[in-house]
Order: sequence, then C-alpha cells, then structure tokens
Amino acid sequence: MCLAVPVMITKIEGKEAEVEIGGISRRISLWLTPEAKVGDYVLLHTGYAISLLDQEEAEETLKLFEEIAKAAK
Amino acid sequence: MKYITEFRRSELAEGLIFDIRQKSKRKVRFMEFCGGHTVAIFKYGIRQTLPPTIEMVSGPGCPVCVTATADIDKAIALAAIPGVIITSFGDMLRVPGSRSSLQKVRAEGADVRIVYSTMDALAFAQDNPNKTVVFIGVGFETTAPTIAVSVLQAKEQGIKNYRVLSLNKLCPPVIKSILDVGEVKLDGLICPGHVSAITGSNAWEFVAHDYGIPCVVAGFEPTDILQCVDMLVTQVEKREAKVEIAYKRGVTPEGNLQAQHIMLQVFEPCPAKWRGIGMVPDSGLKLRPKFAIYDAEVAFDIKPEPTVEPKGCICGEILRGVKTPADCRLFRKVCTPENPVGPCMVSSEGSCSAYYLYGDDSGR
Amino acid sequence: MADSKIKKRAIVNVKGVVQGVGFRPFVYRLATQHNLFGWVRNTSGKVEIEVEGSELEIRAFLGELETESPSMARIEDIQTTFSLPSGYTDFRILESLTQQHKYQLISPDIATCTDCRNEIFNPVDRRFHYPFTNCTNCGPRFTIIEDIPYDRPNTTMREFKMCPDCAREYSDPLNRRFHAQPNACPACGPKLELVDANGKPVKCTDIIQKAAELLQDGKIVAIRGLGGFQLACDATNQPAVNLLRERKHRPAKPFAVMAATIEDIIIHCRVSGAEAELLSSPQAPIVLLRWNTKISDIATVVAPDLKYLGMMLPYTPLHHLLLRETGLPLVMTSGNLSEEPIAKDNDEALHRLNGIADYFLIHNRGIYARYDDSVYIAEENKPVVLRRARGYAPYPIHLPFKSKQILAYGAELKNTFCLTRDDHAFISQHIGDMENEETLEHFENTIELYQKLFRIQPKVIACDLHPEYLPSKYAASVAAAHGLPLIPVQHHHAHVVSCMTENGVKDPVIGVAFDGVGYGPDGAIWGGEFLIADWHDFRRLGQFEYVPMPGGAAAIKKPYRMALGYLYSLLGNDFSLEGLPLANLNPAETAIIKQQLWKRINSPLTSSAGRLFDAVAALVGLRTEVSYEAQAAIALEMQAPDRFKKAKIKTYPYTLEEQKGIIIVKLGELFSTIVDDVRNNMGISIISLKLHQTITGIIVEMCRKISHNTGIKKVALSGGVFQNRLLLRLTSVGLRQAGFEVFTHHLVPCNDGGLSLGQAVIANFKKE
Repeated sequence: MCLAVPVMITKIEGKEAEVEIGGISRRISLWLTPEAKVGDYVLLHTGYAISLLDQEEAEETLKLFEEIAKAAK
Repeated sequence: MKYITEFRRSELAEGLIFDIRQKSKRKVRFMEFCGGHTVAIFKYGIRQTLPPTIEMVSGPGCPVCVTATADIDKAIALAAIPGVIITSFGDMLRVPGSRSSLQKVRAEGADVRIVYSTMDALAFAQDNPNKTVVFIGVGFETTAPTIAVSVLQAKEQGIKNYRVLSLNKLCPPVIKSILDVGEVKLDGLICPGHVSAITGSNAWEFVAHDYGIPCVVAGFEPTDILQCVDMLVTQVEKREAKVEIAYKRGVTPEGNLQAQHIMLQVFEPCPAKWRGIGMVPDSGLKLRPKFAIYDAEVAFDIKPEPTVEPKGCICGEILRGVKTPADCRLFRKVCTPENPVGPCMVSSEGSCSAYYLYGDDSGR
Repeated sequence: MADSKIKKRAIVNVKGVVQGVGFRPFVYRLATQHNLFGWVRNTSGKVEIEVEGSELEIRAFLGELETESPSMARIEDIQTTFSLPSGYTDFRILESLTQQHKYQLISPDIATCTDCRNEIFNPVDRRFHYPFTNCTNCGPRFTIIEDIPYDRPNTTMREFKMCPDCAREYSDPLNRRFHAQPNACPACGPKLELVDANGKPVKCTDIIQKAAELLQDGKIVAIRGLGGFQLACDATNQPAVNLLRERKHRPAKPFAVMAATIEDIIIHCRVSGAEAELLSSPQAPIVLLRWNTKISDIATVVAPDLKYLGMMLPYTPLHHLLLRETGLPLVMTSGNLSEEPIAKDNDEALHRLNGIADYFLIHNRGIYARYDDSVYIAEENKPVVLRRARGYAPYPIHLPFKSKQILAYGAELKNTFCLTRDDHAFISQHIGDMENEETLEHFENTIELYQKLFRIQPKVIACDLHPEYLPSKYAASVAAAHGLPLIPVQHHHAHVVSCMTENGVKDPVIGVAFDGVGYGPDGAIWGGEFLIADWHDFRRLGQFEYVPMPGGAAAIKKPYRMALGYLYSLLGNDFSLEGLPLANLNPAETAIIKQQLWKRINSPLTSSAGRLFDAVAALVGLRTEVSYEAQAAIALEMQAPDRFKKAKIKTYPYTLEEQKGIIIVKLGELFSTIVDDVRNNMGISIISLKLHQTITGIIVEMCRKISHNTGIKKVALSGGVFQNRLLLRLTSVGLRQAGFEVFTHHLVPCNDGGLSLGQAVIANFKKE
C-alpha cells in the first residue's frame, strides 16, 4: 500500500484541495499537509496528500544523475 | 517538473547502473522492505541490470500480504452482520480467509464495497444513516494517518455510524524483529519511500546504529531505486552504516510531523500478528480509548471460527525473505492471480504476484 | 656549545598541577636516567628541582621534563637558572617545605586507572578486591587534602600507618606507588563496612557480594564514594527507583546511572566518539547521552519524559567491584534529601539519610571536601560542562590577566563561588541551591578551605546585584565585617563575562544572556537580554518585552500561570481560552490570576526567555506544573525530532520595536499564532521546532541590528537557557552563517554555576 502519486494542487478550499490526475480533476484532503499551497506538488495516497514534493531537491537529484551519467561515458 | 517522467529517463538509469557496477566489489544482500519496491524492481527489470555481487531479497512490506488469516476472518465475520456495509481497499477482497473471502461473501449477498479512500467510506456512512459502515483499515504508516483523519472527521461532523477495523501495522518493529531473529543476513536495507515520507528517515536510525546495517530511503521510479542501490553499495564499500535519503524530494529526516501527530492522537501501538512472522510487540495500531466508539472490535462482538491456514502456502517464508516464489510448489501451478491460495499472489504489491507478472520462467 | 664534560647545576622551579600526580618520582627517574645528581621537593608554591651533571644531559632532562611528564600533571610554568655544581653525590626526594603565603595547584580526584583496575580483579594480586586501591596516577586527591603541601600527614590518610609492603612501594622509585600519598592495602588501609539503617553491621562473608545482593533485591544502598555519599539502586527495577524518588522527595528530576563498562553503556545509549572519550577520561564525569529507549531496560522513571540519560563509568575501585558483582546498571545519585549538600561523614549519613537508604556501605577514610559528580555533554564533538565538580574542581580557570585577590559569592541557585589570584580563577565545585542552612554551612566551609589551600586573602568581595540573594546578603555582611569593598554585579553581565573570560575574549561582545531569573537594575526580572559587554561594564541594547508573572515565584512552579500572564497581557484581558488545554484549568483560579494581572498585584515584570519556553509548554498542554527547574521548557525541547530538515521549518511572527534606545522583542503575534496552531490541532513537535527556529531567528536579527549600530562582530551566548541543546546548536550555526564569531561555554557552565567567574572578573576591573 505504498502507492502514492505526484499531483499538482489547482485549488484549495479549507482542508480540501483539487488536483489534476491524467486530465481529470479530483478532490483530495489536505488534513495531513495543512501547509500546502496552490501550485504545490504533493504525494497523493488514497485521497490524502501525505507529503509536499520539494522541487529544489528533485532538480538537484536529477542534476546528480546527469553528472553520474556523464562520468559513465 | 512533473516528478515522474524525468525520473524514468533511460540514459540516467544507465549512468547509475554503470556506477553501481564499477563500485560494487563485495558480495552483498540487500532487502527491499516495501512491496511497492519489489514490484518496481521487477517491472523495470532492475534485477537483471545489477552485478552478480548484489543479491536482492524481499521483505514483509506488503500490508495485505502480512494480514493474518485470523484478521481476514474478522473482516469476513463483520460482513455477515446485517446492517453492516464493509468498505475496503480493492486488494483485500480476494485474499483467502480460512473458509471464504470478502469477494465470496459479497457474491453471497453481503454489502462489501471497494473504496479508493476513507473519504468515500465516510460519505457512505453519511448517505446510509440506518446502516453501519465499517472500514477495513489495512496499511502501514502511509495509510494509518489517513484512517486517523477519517476518525477525527467523523467526530467533527458527528457521524455516528462509522467504524474502523484497525489492522494497521508499523514497519520499524517488524524490521527489528526480523533482524533480531537473524534468519537472513543483510548488508543493506532499502527503506520504504512513502512510509518514510510519514515517519521520516529518523525511524530507521536504529537499524544503522544498533545493527550496523546501511539504510537508504528510496523512491519508486527506476532511477530512484538505482540511486538507492548505488548509495548502499557506496556505504558498504566504505564500511559505513548510516541512514541516508535518496528520495529527497519526498522524504525528510523528521517526516511528516503533523501526520505522525494525528496518527498517534487516534491510535496507540499494540501487539500485532504478522503472517509468517507471528506476534510482534508494538507493531500494530489500535484505536485509543477516547475513540473507542469508532472501533469495530468494540462495537461488534466478532467471533470468527477457528483459523485454517492455506495448505502448502509458503507466503510466510517469502515475507521473511527466506524463500522466493520459485521455491513454492504451488506457484504458477495451483496458485495464480485468478486462483490465489495466499495473499502474496493477490496483492498488487505481493512478491508472488510480481514474480508471476514480471519474472521470467526461471523465477528470477 | 653543550659539552658532555662540563658539569653544571640547573635550578628548576615548576608550577602547575605537579603535586599528587607522581611528579617527584618521575623527576627522580628522569634524573637517574640522565645520570644527574641533586634533589627534588614539594614546597607550598611549586616543585623545586636541582640537577647537576653534564650540560648535555641537563638539557635533555629539561626537555623531557615537559614532554614526558605524567599524564595527570599539568605544567604551567618552568623557570630554570644555571649555576656551578654543588657537589651532590646522589639524587634524592627531599622533605616537603611549607611556605607561608605560597600556594600550589591541587589535583582534582582522579578516576581509577587501568593498572589499578586490573590489580583489583587479579586473584593473585595482593590488592585483589581491595576497594581503596590507588597509585600515583589515580585516586583521591582534593577530597582528602586538608592543607598543602600534598603529603600524607596533611591528608585524611594520616590515620593510616603504611604496612611494610606499602612502605616499600612508597620508597621504591621504580614503583607505581612511589610517594603515592593515599597508598594503602588490605592490611593497613581503610576498611569497608556494611551496616543497616540503624548502623548495625550486616553479617556476611563478602561485603561487596552482600551489597550486590541487596541491590539486586531492589534495596536502596547508600555508598560512601569519593566526595560524599551516593544513593544507589537497581536502575532496571522500576519500583526500587520509584521508592528512591519518594524517599528523596524527588518526583521527576532525572537520576544518573552508572554502568560497569563502556560496552554496558552502549547497550542503553548512543555514544559518540567524543562522548566515549569523556566517559573514559580520568575525570569520568556523568555524560548526558541519547537514550535508546527501544532497547534499554533501564526504567523510564529514572529520567521521565527525557531523550537523554546521564551515564557514567565506575571511578573508584569500590564502584568497579560493586558494578561488576551486581551485574546491573545502578542509579547513582547524590546522598542527600532534595537539594541539600551531599552527606560526607559516616555518622552524618546515617542520620541524614535515615529513612532514605536501607543499607549503608561505609568506610573509614575521611573525606575533607564534599564533591558531587560532574555533568557533561558533548556538543559539536567538544566537551561542555553543565555541572563542574568531581574531577575538575579545584583546577583553576586560566585568566588572561593578573587578577587582584577577589572572592565572588556567586548565584542563589547552582551556586559556585570564585576566588582569584594571579592568573588563576579558582571556581569552587558545585555547591548547590543556597536555600537552606546546610548548604550555607557547606558554602562557608568550602570558602575557608579554598582560601587556606590557595593562600588567598580577598581584598574585594563581589556578589550578585540581587539584594535578597542569600550569597549577596552574606557577601555584604562579610565585606562590612572586614571593611572590604563590595561590588554588586548584574546577573546577566556576569554570565556574558564568564563566557568571554573562559574563551579569552577581551574586546566588547554582543552578549546574548538567556535564563530563567536574574535581577535587573530597574527592579524587573531580566532573562532575555541582549547586551554590549566587556569586562568593565555593559549596556542593555535589547530585551524580550516585559510580561507580568502572576504570583511571582508561583509562576515559576506553575507554568500555566506564566502562560496566562503572556496571553492576557499580550492579547487582552478578554482573551478566550476556548479550544486550548488551558481551558481545563479551574475557572476560579483563572479568574484570580486575571485579577492579579489586571491590578498588577504580586506580578513582577520579566523579560525571561526561560519563562517564555515554560509558558509555551503550558500553552500547548505539555506541562502545566513543574517539580524541578526548567522541567516544562525541557519537555518542550524534547518534543523536537533529533534530525530535521531545517529549511522546511517555518517560524512564528514577531516584531522588533525600539523604545528609548533599546530594541524590544514584541511577542503578541508569536503567542496569537501559537494559539491558532494549538486550536488547529498542530502537532507539538512542530510547534516546538517552530518556536526554537523563531527564537534563533530573533537572536540573529537582534545581533545583526546591534552589530550594524556598533560594528561588533563577536557574540557570546550564556545563561541557563542555552543548556537547551537544540537552541544552542541552531543559534551557533545561525549566527556563524550571518558572519558572527560565536563564543559559547565549555569549561564553565552557562547556567548559574558559571556566574561567580564573571562576577570576579568584573569586580577586578571595577574602578574604585
């Protein structure tokens, strides 16, 4: 049950938010991530945002992969 | 940045594979605890890319798989009670209990509904005031906080016909149990990514510190898993044992403190029975006395019949990492996704299911 | 050019800790190795040496004197002059010379060395199982010295006449016990006795074995250790620990635990390299370690609600024998009732600890100076003292200047006093809270001892500005009686100067002084202060805003009062407690407190940072009443996770307002936001992290502002609130990142135990 998908928040209403998955809008709960804002990406699990995704970290990780890939050549 | 395709780029994966092959000198055995990781490793063919120095074993990180037959029987017994609507995640329906399954009793007329979220279960409760909606709570720390929220919401909104059958479990205690028993010698632990999003990587410090085993928290895309293996190999070669996060975009050392807070507000640790492992202290979650009115075990006097374990099923040993599905006499011959004998074949995160769908004929 | 043929005589004077550390035997052996004749002797002021022989050998001797000296020796100064030979025909250790007005540094007590430890466990050694084994490298020093020079007749060992075997060791230069003053053995030395609570001897064949059995049975045993009595019980036995708490009237303050070996400690706690070094050092202090409650079977009630456990290794042969025989970790706490001084004499213990201990392990080696165990932590891999006593006092702190002879009386709580002369500041061992007769007596006796040992006749008396402090009152009466100038020193100024002095900083610094209570010259209770300070003077440039403490001292014991104080004064008298844990308080009492605040009855104003932490702890429902100082603030610190991603932690809002040249930190928004968080069911661990991050941010911003106006780039952190390791870490890092040079305490506590040093330094520079 570790499945969680990255989704972007398009609207927030109180403790609930709207996100887009595969072109469809879904209502999710922000009870576990009250600090989330519109435009944030969150990990969605069974209808709840369980964690905010950190764009800076994501970019750094990709950069790291690119360096490793370059060194491999 | 969409957080998915970027992490599936093959040239990045190739770079990581090269790096691993270069670094890996010592023979090691890594365990991926999480069922989701088992599936991903299979699906993306990662096993085949790793050098022969690295052996991978699967752990008991599939919440459906580790639910004891007796607990499945409890859910089935609840379904038989008139006026009860059983709500559950899809995976649970086809798991065989001693004599039946939720799917079977549904076919026999019980009101069993698959839900994607506890939010749906709460909605059913609101829409059916004359019935009692019972949610079968299965999952680890990723799911437990969401179930806790549903209980708090029920309280907030005055919903009185919502109950939870708490079969939720905690991961660190069972890992400790496995390490204490020492059946399988491990040189590294691939820590569950989304459980860690909640618990934080702090939850695994004891593995590195008390058992001297390197730990790395991994994500679920192919590059995520390869990065994790790469970091584990680095630690092994340097003779280090610490906790690191590969999945930095989703996991922090402290985790989701609010989710932890909510989970412990509603639940408290209790002993729990894990299929194939037995009773593990403080590894289950039960509703606190304050929330007893939402506890299905308090509301209903559940008396299932004596438990019967499926004959010939070695799910337990597979969950402990001692055997693989290829070692099972029933695998593929009798036990298939259409006709599962044990839960490991049913769950989308089960080892047997993964091997069946993605493995080759040698069972690798 | 050094010629091996030319004979010379060198006259050498060595100062430092060079008595009681095997220095004279070392000199003897060194001189003999280099074929030199002459002598060495102890005097009151130094170790005097004369060596004559070839110049080459003398030079080699002098070099090795410094580099090869015994591990416990600390050479501070060597003065050498050359002269013509006197015609010595051998090398001797001469009798010691007592000189009026001269003094020596005295060695602190030293934990049992490896050699002695091996002897007491060796069945064929004559000291097998002998609890009073010691040598030139370990054993009692300060606690048994009644006067200098350090010779057996001047110690409590004078009552024991050495047997022939011991006497032989004592006079053999090649023996590890050569001139070891406390040398003893089972035949001639101190003896152990086990008695019950009435003083009646307990029948048994082996005292240690019997004592171990009693401890295994859950009994409480008082043990006469090095600096006084300790109370011991099985740390894994919850009922035994609870009983000890009950009898000691100590409901929650943590106990320290002793374990037999470092491997045993690792069973219970995480131990870093720096911590292991501290634990195994010759000082062997209690070290606060990260408690691994998952696998430790030490009862949680030993240190309730805490992440850290204070552990130590055995430091006397008696402890080693007892711990090994018992096979359990033992609670080892000071033998006293609540905050009284540690009991030191057998009769005293039987009387004072009656009703607390079931049995008494006593002996007949006198203890002259009371000494608690020291408490240390390792921060950024460096030792940091929290309580300075056994193993450290009375070694002085080095002063970067020559001081007048001053006696500083210290603080009311965690008292130490400080006597200065030359470039030495002799800070006493931890005395305790000056709240009762016994502590005052202990205080007076210890001052007398230090004055005698170090030949100090103070010319100036320093004390805290607080007129009601017991030490201040005492200081005033002594100053008046002897016609000496009395210099009252502001509490937080003293804290900052204490930090500056131990770091050797003379230039003015920005002093951040955060503690619970300290008298302010304006009559208010200071505690959240930003000062510009140097050794002469200080100026207050910033503070937390003044908030009333409903009931004064009552607000310290009951943090919920402090919380109400903040809420009603900052957010208005009609602030509603709805949705807060504080709403569960007795409404009648809440109404009375509101009245007190409204009418300013018994509600002194405070800027204390310590009270702020207390108040938030009560506000979030963590702790509303305390049984020991800072219990609530500590509880809040414990809620924060060990490791976290700093960048992700938010902060609370606050404003800085300038009033009459002082920057005030306004806390209204901070509290109203915390209130919102609590009402929104935010996890306490998050609130704790946010608060710590906020306070850090406030400190950095204040220092930036002050630095902008003054150009000062040095910051000193002091005051008891910086015992909060999370705050200390965040603040040090934050300030360094902002370009400041940061000074924190290591040798002297940041809490009130370090106050006397600052007082003495300031008094020294006060222009008359």
